[in-house]
Amino acid sequence: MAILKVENLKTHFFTEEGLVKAVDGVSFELERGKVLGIVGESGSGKSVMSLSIMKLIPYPGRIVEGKIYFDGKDITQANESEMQSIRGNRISMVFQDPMTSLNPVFKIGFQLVEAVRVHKKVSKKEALDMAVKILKEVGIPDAEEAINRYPHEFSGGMRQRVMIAMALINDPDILIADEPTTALDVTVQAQILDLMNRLKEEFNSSIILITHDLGVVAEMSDEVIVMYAGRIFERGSVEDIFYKSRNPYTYSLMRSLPRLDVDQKRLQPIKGNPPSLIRLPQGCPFHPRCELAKDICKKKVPELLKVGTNHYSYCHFAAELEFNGGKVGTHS
Amino acid sequence: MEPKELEVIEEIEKLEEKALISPNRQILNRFKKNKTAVFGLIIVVILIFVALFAPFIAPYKYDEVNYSESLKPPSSKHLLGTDILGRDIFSRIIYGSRVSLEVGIIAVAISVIIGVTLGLISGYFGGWVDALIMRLVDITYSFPFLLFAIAIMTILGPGMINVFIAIGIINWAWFARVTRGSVLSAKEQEYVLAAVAMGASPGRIMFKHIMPNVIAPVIVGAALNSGYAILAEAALSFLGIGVQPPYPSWGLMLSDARNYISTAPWMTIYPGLAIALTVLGFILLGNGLRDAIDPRLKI
Amino acid sequence: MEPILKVKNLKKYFPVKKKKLFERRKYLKAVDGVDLEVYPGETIGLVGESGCGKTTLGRTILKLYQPTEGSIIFDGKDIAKIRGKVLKDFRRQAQIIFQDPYASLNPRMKVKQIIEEPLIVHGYSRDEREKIVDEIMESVGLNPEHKFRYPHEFSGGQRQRISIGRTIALRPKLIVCDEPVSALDVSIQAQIINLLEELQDTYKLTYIFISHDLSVVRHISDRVAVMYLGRIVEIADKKEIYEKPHHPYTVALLSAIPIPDPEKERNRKRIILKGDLPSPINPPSGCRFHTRCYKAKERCAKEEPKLVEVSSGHSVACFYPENT
Ligand SMILES: Nc1ncnc2c1ncn2[C@@H]1O[C@H](COP(=O)(O)OP(=O)(O)OP(=O)(O)O)[C@@H](O)[C@H]1O
Ligand SMILES: Nc1ncnc2c1ncn2[C@@H]1O[C@H](COP(=O)(O)OP(=O)(O)OP(=O)(O)O)[C@@H](O)[C@H]1O
Ligand SMILES: [Mg+2]
Ligand SMILES: [Mg+2]
Repeated sequence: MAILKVENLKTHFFTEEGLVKAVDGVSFELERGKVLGIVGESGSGKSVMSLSIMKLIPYPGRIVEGKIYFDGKDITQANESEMQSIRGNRISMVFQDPMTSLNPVFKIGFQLVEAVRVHKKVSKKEALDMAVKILKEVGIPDAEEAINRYPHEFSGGMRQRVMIAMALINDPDILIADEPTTALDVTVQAQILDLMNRLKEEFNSSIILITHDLGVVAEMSDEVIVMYAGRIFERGSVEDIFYKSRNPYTYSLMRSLPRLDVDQKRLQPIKGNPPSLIRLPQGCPFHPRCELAKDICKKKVPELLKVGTNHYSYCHFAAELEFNGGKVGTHS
Repeated sequence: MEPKELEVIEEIEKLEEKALISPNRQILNRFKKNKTAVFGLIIVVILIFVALFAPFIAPYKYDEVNYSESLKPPSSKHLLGTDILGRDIFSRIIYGSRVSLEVGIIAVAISVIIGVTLGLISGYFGGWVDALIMRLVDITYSFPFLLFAIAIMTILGPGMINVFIAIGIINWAWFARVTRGSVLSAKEQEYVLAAVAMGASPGRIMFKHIMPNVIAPVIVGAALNSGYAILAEAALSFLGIGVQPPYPSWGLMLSDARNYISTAPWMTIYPGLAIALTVLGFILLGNGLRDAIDPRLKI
Repeated sequence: MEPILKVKNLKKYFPVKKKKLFERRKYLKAVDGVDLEVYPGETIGLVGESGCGKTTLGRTILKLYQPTEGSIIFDGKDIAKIRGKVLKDFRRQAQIIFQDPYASLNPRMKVKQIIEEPLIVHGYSRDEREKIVDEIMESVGLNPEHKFRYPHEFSGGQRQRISIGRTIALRPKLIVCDEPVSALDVSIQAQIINLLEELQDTYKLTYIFISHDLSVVRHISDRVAVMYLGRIVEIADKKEIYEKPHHPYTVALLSAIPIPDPEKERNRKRIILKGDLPSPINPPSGCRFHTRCYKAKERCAKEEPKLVEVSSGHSVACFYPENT
């Protein structure tokens, strides 16, 4: 059974400028031991979706509709104390900026011990041993000594490892990583991704990996969700998305990338900018930027159509289209 | 870029065209929502109005002596009572607002001119110039305010103009420090670096690109400082080294009232109230402006 | 062909704040002996990890930072020590585009004023300015009708267009592009890269293109220089460096970039470097990379390898280069 099942989730922000439908009808399932990659441009709702799963949506937002089944139980109905026993214990999260999510005034050993003792009845000594063990596991040299250091005494890459250690110390069922490597250099990113891969095997945790880097998604994910304007535009296995995409947005995104492995004369950008969520275009929200847009796209909102086993696309023409974005340019 | 593409972008822009409001408009909206700030503004506006039209509002002249009316409590004839010389307290308070307003404007203007100039120089050029000016600031700060003011007033001698100068000279340090801080942070901005890269002269960079960043904190500071300057003037006049009689300064009125606190409390209460309200008005206005412009301003 | 820019042994040290009163003054060696030649009309990519000195090198070349040592020959003249009018004249010919499209535009100036500013500084008349601003806005893909708007009314990509407009207003010869697309969304990146390429064709521009994204650099550059801790460790034609990287650092860097093709990605051999970039205050002895290098031998910790040309146009600073 899936460890996480999200059904028609809608998270809206009631702002002064208007209603922001940051997440607007999202459904997916996550199996144990699998990695789900979520990609999309800035503002497409990736972070809000993950915060919704943690029930940590900032004011003035709230879940207005939908269900989130975690281990069979709908946590949209859970109260705050139930959520607290889940957060950091069974579902944990790694944020993009490792500096703001570690408390600068406490030693990291103390922070790790606290993370354990909030959820488990263990002695300080035992918790400290766990902290040292997990730090070793994420590749912090001299872990015994490192627990006595403050966050600022670590480099960005090291801090991110500490964050991951903290997220994993309670052996969670789900690790949500929101752009865990965006602030890091590629060589450090490679270290972190390598680490996440090893940990997944070891703990059999499921990972939700949010990023805007399609390369990272290709490397890490089993399944992929492509988001645009708060909706799922395409969902499927990593092969489906990269080689047999049924959605023009997915393909446009892949085609616009400069690539390390292919020569391109001119890049093919997506024209215009992502829309404001307050004033979405009528019909398909992508239609003003879509090259294949027809009349119907301007008028009618598409549906998420099933186009294969576990492969869905949000496009009026999903049945007729197929793109190979992973091999863009290689054959021409 | 091809015209067709431009057209598409146009179309998208139209779709998302929000009712974009300019930054100044936003500041205004935020200010309007802040009730205490609006209250402060109303007090300040009333003060200005009263000061401008004092001769028309006041029922008597400020120096109109009438011994037969000496130390009368408030009545319909003398709204707030009279003092030992039978002068109308209400009228004197009305005229006194002129002194307060002048202090609020002129003394603070003197501080702003000295402080902002030195702050700009200090922040922009750095090095020993900066060190020198900042030591001067430290020295100014290290004197107890009133002691310093008394010292200056003893040198300059009493009188209205000298009060302005004394208060102005003391308060400059605050503006110098804030200006320097804004300049230093603006100097690191990439758009300032861009101006350097295009070959703009130091003067142009200073006035065109850096100066605008200084204006917001200086305006906020000026409003707050006006309140304190008015208080300082009252104190100096109370001590007898400020505004000289018969001109009615609120501080001076309090000073006159010293011996009659129990017999004629109205002589103390009303000028005191006028001072408190006015200072409060300026401070609320200043805080409101700060919150509207940028709540993170460290003032 | 004569290079338009020739940098020799360029150094930029920043003084480090003393922690103790009687400590010896230390220096952060952000750029520590760079030699570089840039030819007219080419794009030279400058890559390397965060903190290796790319920005500092770019800004020192443009004399936004006063060089600590070395010479910068631009168009035959050494500009390392010039000032005043000569410097202003140099500024007209060499410009910079910044990474952050928010911080690099003055929020209190309208688009027209922003693009016009360099023209005012260099004494263009009102009519000329009027004409140039409209022209520039068109050529960077902005609607000239929007020239009275403020930067905050534009999206990130459009702001970068404004910034590019300001840069090309004076028709410079050389432009340092410091991560001009790093802050932008992938879909917008491509628009800006294409724009930079179009402008290069139209105005015969020379670019020094700084980025940590090797895919972007591969796309836009003719030659690529790889920096590590204040030095250039490898420089070659694009094709060469991506197909036959010599320096172990370049090899590791290239192997670390994920490719958006799951099949290729799974079969790729990845070199995972140990540790992080060492401190530029106390760089490692010998080869600066030896602390993280998978090939390091004894010699690397003692001796410093020089940047030498190993084949035509391909130079590397390593005792044990790969792919040779
Ligand atoms: N606290 C908030 N108040 C109002 N709107 C919000 C808030 N947080 C997010 N939003 C809006 O929700 C939408 C989705 O935001 P979200 O942060 O999920 O995007 P994202 O896909 O994570 O983007 P990025 O790649 O930039 O992190 C955005 O349009 C954003 O403006
Ligand atoms: N103005 C400065 N004063 C002191 N140190 C500086 C200054 N500018 C940069 N440095 C230091 O010089 C080194 C090189 O910085 P630089 O910004 O050139 O790196 P970079 O390669 O551009 O990095 P990034 O990819 O993060 O932009 C860093 O260690 C940095 O901390
Ligand atoms: Mg996000
Ligand atoms: Mg940089």
